[in-house]
Amino acid sequence: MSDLAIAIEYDNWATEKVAGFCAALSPDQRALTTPGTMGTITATLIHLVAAKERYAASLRGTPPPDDAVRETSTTDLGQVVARAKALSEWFGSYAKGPIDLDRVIERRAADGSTQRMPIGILIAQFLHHGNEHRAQLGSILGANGIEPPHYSAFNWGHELGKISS
Amino acid sequence: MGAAHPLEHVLRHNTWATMTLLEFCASLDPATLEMSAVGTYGTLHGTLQHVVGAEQWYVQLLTGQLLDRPRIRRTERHPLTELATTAALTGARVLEVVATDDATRRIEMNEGRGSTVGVILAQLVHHGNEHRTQATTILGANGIEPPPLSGWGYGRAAGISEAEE
Repeated sequence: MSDLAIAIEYDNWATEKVAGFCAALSPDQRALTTPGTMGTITATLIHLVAAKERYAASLRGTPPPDDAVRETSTTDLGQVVARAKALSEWFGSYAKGPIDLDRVIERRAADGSTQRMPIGILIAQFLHHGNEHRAQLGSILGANGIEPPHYSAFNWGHELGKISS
Repeated sequence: MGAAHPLEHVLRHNTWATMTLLEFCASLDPATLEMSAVGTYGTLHGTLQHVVGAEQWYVQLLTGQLLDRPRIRRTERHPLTELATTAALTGARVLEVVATDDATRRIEMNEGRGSTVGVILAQLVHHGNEHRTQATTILGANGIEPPPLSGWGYGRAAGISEAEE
């Protein structure tokens, strides 16, 4: 497995872990936020997974599936957890294949314009974005007295037995 | 700029984002560096120093070399100019590591723990994004618009991508 495939597998694990944790919170807890982050726990989690849907769609070159998580319509966090798992399977398979990081692909931006970028940039953004919004969720949880789940790559490595204690 | 290694853009983004954040914070009123926000690591300066100090340690784990001595420890305050020098050195060194190292090679860490190279690289990427996000949370919570640190921003700065938020 390449260094990149390991980083993608970690992202899959961490997003599923955080999604499962947040989905199990009470509705009042999921409505919590803290200054300096993007919004509530629910909004941040939906955005985290919805963006991952769009990154996968850009890499596949096809639109997101009908049951994809979307910021504009998704309210069921059970669906978010299920799609996080499905996206993990897709990205896990994608990471195992040969990836031409220099191949230029297109992405439809929020304003409707078409943007071109090498796959390597989309993957750098995808990994950054997951870490960024998981960190915001960790801040919201901590700011509101809820111990966040342990989702670092070292925690992942330990859980998988890649780090011995 | 093509990718010579699967993690190249991810690691170049990591260094670019840390350097961009350090440069931005160096331009602020020094009192801003003592600000914090609930749910984050600590002060803005402490968070920046932690990002760079941890990366110095990860590179030491990977190479056995301590770059830009002395070791950055939380008990001693290091100026932002010094942190930028260390971040540039570790960022360059880690690119050399991924070009030659084996993701499955085992490394002895501390307290008898061992890890693989791949997990340490995933942790390096996660950790940088996690704490830069905490830094931007501190800035936002204190009414300061943070600089863009995304993978899209890196791609535009490198002149190889049209993508933006």
